[in-house]
Amino acid sequence: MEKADIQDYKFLFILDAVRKDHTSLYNYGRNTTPFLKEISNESTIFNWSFAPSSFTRASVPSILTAKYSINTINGFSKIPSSEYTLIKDIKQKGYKTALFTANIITSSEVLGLDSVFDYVWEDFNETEINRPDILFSSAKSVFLALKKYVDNNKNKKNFIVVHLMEAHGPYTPDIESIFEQDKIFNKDKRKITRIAPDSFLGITKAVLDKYAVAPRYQLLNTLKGPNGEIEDYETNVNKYIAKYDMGIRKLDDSLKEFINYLKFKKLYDSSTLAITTDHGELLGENNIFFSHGNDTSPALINIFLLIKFSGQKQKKEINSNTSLIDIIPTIFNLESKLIDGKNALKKDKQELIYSFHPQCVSVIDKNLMLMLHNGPYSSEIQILQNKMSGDLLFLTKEMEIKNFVENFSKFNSDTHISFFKKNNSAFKEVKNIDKYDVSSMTNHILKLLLQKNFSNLSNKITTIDDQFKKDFETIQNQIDNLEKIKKNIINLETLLNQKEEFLKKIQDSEWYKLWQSYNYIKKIVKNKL
Amino acid sequence: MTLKDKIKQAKKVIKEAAEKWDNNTIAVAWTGGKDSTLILHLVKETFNGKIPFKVMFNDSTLEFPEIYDFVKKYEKDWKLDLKWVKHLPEDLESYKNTNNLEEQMEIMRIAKINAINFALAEYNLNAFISGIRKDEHESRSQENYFSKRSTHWRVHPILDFTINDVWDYIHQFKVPYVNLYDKGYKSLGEKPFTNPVSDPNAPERAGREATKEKTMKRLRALGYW
Repeated sequence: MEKADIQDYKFLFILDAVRKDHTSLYNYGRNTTPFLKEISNESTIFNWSFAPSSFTRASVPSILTAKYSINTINGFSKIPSSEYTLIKDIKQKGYKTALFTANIITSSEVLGLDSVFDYVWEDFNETEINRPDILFSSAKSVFLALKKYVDNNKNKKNFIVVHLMEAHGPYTPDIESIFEQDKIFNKDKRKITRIAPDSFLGITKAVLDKYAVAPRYQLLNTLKGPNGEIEDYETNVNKYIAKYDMGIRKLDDSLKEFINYLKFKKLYDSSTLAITTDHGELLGENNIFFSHGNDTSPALINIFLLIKFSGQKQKKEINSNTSLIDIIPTIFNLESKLIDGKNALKKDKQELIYSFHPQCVSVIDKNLMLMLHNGPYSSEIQILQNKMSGDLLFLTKEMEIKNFVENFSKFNSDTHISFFKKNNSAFKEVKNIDKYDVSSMTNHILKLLLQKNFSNLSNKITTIDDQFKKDFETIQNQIDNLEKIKKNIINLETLLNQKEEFLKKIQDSEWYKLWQSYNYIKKIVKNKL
Repeated sequence: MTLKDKIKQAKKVIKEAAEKWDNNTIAVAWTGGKDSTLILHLVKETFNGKIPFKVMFNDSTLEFPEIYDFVKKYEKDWKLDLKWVKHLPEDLESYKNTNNLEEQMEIMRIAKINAINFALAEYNLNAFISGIRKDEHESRSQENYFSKRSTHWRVHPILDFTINDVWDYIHQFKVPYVNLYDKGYKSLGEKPFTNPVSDPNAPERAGREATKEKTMKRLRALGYW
């Protein structure tokens, strides 16, 4: 094959903090992702995809290693470059690997990517409005660099990861939102009533019951004091959400522009494009606004994923559960016992999916999500600050179910267990669960939880317990009936045997012979007559 | 613009505010510091010795004892309709639960606005008069005398005053001030976070500028690696 014929580009686009239900892919009321909708007609849509964690620092390394955080060395803190064996495997397959990131959290220094990728672009050139020492870069500058890179590496096999920040807060502070004053905007009358520190320190269930809380770094339209203190801020929730949606639209527009460029260069058809996010965003769930990394609830971890495979022309929908740790094994068709991720197109449909957070874990079954949360709503910053003290964390590196249930049971204050059931394309919180929703694995977790005594969980546990008792009784009755039938069958068999024996005895008896002789004689006499 | 012009303009802004809203729904934000005490004095001068608005003192519980004495004295002497607004108990609880100085400072910065917003709703306020000045910080240089916020209006009568104007006014009109300024304090924050400045030419507030090293340092401090 001529060198010029090699056209193998595999792109992985991570659009930070984009909520599934705020995309046009899932029929959001605003036209946020017209381009994703368009490209979905020739892509594979994974309708039930899950982020392996709810914050970038944990989620992206999981995506890049195809391992859950707690299966990597150091778990939620910096993992060593030796963990990125997957990227090394891809290199071995002859791919040139590159990372283009607009997020300083996925910079090579923070992620420990020391010479993992062949090339890393990380020119952070903009400053966040409320955190003057946090840098990022715009999609515009990322794509400018990416186009140059694509041009310069045309005759190679390429794997390129691109991480973009437009939807991450503070939401598009410099751009007017096209969604202001629309129906959704005018309907939303909610107001922010309290600011939390970026670490969410001190935010408990009691605070959330009373106030609508947003972290300080997200505040827009602020009046700032001379020492950086905020004297006033935008309190209308609709303003923020209109701007958040505008960020998603900006991402969609810039992706479209880049893909048009690939088309123009005749690289599009042969390219594989995976487009997803690293986590969602809370927009008022549980009274938490404009935040992520607080738990692993559906708004944060049930995310969108589409993959346009090279040459794909038809839309395909996958409705079994998929994790983002499956993306790389899927686009490279990789199988390995050393990783947790699998080719999503060949996956066992019954397999459970997890999402991990140092103080929370979600287990996703066929139709149900189970979430265990230890109570505080600390964000990643505080979790990282407290990682040594362990006073907030119940997850350890060992992933076995018995360990996380065991650890979870140590938290006796403000812990909660929640159930969410699939409902159209989203999850809905439910109080009771149906036995058909849970597989034997989830059953096992629930049983382990039931063995523990949480006073504040008794209601839910009782609900589950009652359900189990009911189910058990039904099955027990059925078994009892079967036993009865079985007994009757055995009795019948015995009777039949006895009948056989009796017949044999009769046949062997003198009386029977006599009776046979009698019948014989009777027959002859009849004939003679 | 001379100081005289600036005073005239400040009084005009105060009068306009008094005409625009029911005076019961206007509050002066008083910290006990020099700028907001100057505002109180200006309001008093504008209305012939009376202060027709509410006066809101936001108590972090961590103020200097001198501030508490000062506030109590002038509440009486100037017959103020003083609303003593304490930080919300949940914020004070969070403050107690961390030993990290930077986090404590962040909590206190947030606690202030949480308490003010609580009071704005509690007292049904339409307008809030505060003593911010353009020369304090770049972020304030774009401010107007009247600034519409999402829940209320902010009124800034001394926007044009410089730091020198403030001291000239204080001396000229014998406005009382806390003696901490004479001990080298340039700007009064909560006691645990405020130190006197030895360099007389030091800027009133210091600015910050982002670099990659700074960001990395911050992330490292937060435990990112």
